[in-house]
Amino acid sequence: MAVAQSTVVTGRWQRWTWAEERWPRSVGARWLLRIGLALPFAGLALFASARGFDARAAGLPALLPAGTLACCLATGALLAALAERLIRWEVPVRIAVPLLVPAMAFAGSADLTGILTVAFLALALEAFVQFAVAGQTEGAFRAGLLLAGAVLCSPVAVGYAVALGLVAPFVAAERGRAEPATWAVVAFPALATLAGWAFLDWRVTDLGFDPAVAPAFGGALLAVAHAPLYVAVAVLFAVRRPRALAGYLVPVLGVSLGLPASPVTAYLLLTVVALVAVPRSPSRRLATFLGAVALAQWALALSWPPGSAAYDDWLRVVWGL
Amino acid sequence: MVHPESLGPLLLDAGLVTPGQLAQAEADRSGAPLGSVLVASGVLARRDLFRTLAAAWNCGYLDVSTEWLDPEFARHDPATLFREAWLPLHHDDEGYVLVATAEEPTPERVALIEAAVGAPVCVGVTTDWDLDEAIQRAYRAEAPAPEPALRGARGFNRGWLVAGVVLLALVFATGPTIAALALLAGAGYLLHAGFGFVAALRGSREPVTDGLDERDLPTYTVLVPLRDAAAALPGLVANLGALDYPAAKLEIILLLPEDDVKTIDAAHAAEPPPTTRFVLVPAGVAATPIGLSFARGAQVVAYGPADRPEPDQLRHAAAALHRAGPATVGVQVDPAPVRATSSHFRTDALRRLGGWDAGLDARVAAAGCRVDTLDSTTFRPAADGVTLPRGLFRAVGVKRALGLLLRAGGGPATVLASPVLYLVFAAAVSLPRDLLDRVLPGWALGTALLSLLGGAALTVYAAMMRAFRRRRYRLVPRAVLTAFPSPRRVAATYRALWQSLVRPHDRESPHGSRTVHSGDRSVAAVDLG
Repeated sequence: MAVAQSTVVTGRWQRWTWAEERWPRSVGARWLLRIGLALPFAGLALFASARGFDARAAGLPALLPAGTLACCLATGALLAALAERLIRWEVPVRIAVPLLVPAMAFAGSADLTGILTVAFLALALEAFVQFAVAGQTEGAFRAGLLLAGAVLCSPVAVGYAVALGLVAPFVAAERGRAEPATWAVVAFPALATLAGWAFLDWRVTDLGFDPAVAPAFGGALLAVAHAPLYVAVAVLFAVRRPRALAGYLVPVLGVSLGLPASPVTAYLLLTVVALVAVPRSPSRRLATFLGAVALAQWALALSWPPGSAAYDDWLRVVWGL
Repeated sequence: MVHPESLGPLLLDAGLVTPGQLAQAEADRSGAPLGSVLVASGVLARRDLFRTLAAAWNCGYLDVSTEWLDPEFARHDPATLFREAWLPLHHDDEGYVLVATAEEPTPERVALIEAAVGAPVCVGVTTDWDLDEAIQRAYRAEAPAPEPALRGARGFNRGWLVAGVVLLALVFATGPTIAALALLAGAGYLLHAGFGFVAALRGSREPVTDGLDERDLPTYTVLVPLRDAAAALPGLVANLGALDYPAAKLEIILLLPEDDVKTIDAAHAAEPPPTTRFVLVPAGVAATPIGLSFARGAQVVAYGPADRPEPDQLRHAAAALHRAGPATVGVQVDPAPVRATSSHFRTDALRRLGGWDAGLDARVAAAGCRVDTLDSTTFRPAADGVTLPRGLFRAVGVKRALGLLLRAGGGPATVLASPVLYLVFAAAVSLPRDLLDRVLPGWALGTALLSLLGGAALTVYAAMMRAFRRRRYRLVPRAVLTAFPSPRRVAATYRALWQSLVRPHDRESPHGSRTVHSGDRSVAAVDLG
């Protein structure tokens, strides 16, 4: 008996429903996963502390109590979100191998601002792609709110919000989104956060507001050179979803403006953005290709690691390298 | 009612709307007639709309409020006249019977009217609201004049006590008092804004109308019987304004007792949405049956003056009745933590069943119909002596009860708090830092400002999300205005607070003239006798 193919095909870029996408399904299990993924970083942070390493944060995260604990929990939450995304979208987890590098160990255990920046920006980009490509309205809201979180880490992140707001009507034009509305929904939270932070910093107390932009075009090229997986996924976008490519490339623009300033954080940002932007259920051939590129990037990161002053200090104090 | 295709160009030619307003109305139609959208949005006066329609229908326009109503014609069934939207007025000079109508006078319709009147007719167009008023005027006996109520005894007064304590505290402990007021206002403001934000965020994930297209939403009538409810009017108007339903498909009828001048005046002063009608009801007469006879919506619901339905309740009810079979004539809010109001009905079915009363359940069952439950909530503040929180928490659970309490008290509390916080903001901007430090400690100032800025941002973004989700893209940038409650609303809320403190059980009726027309708003007075 022949079975007719379903006439309703879920696009590779689309979620089915919000509830179906959650992994693990129960809230408790998701929290266990986050804590479980945070534990190795907590152990590493304790070890580094015992060796005399003093972790410091910048921006508003510096005001958080128990900064090291917050850093590890943020790392656990980011990795859990990444795992959920890859598993539910049937993307081979092995392509996340570029994260198994010392730079991730450093950022995840000692660089609260860096890991939060990566988490907010990468997840905002993922949400934006959801909105722009799959037409999920909620994606625009999540992108806007996550960008506001990124601004709390560094005021320069407002550049991401403005850039995404500007490209949003362009990439979502085929869905008939009105331009000012889309721009407002994506950019308003970040702009409001920036304005509120600046005002409170001015009138109440010094909250470390520093909107200085430090262009680093060379840094952007270096970051892209360190992340061939990001380039490979960009090519995928260029071929399959050229409209969404503008949004995908915003992090390169951000790195060229100086956020993240650290090459280590820039490496992690581009890698995580590439991982969350891989389309749903890639074909075997595409998965093999991406796996090979990921492996190459991992080897590259070990042989030619991205570096920064804090990272080098961490390597020296904790590991004696 | 179907408006002619030529209505838009006619309105443009007459200079009654601009091309931009017309385009906006076209975008917001959601299946509603163009003219209704323009009237509901406040762009077009109802009488201008019907004047234009009269021209489009090749008819004259009648101002029925100035026409003589011949008692000879008061022999038709008023309910039929109301449903069919026509009324015979008197004979004209040529012997024709002058008939007012609010529907297009097609030849078939004119023939039906002539058959009913039994004479040749001359038809003129008037507004639907003016026609309703004229029908009631034609069939109305003189209502007894309202008797002035006794002025309440003046004695110990809570309001003056509270004001005195606050004033003394401001004089003798200025800094701590201002700090306490600012912190209290900030906490309430932020809490309510956060609650609204979370609700809007959750709403973005859950489709409200479950497959019912915006264009297929039915017209809806909301009836609100009022008595001695002057103090509740600001809150009521805010609650009605918060209903998330296309304005062009929503009709709100405030049923006002003729002898309750204070409530009538308060209703005018509160400036409810443009789709609100006032209907005056004689003293001692049940108001909801009268309201039901006026209802033009395909579905109808009645709320009390202090009821606070969930904003999307009408959409949920519309979707539920859309999904249900014809045997389901209504949906009843369940659980109803305080009282079982908010039952939504198909209007025709409810009229056939005789309207709301104690025997409605039995008549529904006898007719082989049913009333389903609706997963929504209408909150009403507790009456004196009712242990509201405990009963509410038991009835709906902790999570939902907290949400209801925040929704119930949060709106007015936010309006009350916002002037305090904006004053702190203005002081922070304009006063020198050292002077400010002497009045308000830095930590208190920072907390209050953080509450204001954070709360305002959350409020604005919640409004943006709601508009964006409903594809009302032009409203998204305007959401910024939601951070600033209108001075009129602030004043009304403070006045209501003051009245609740000074005269919590006030029943007095002030002297003064009664208003029966307010701009484009028609006020109908009825008598069932």
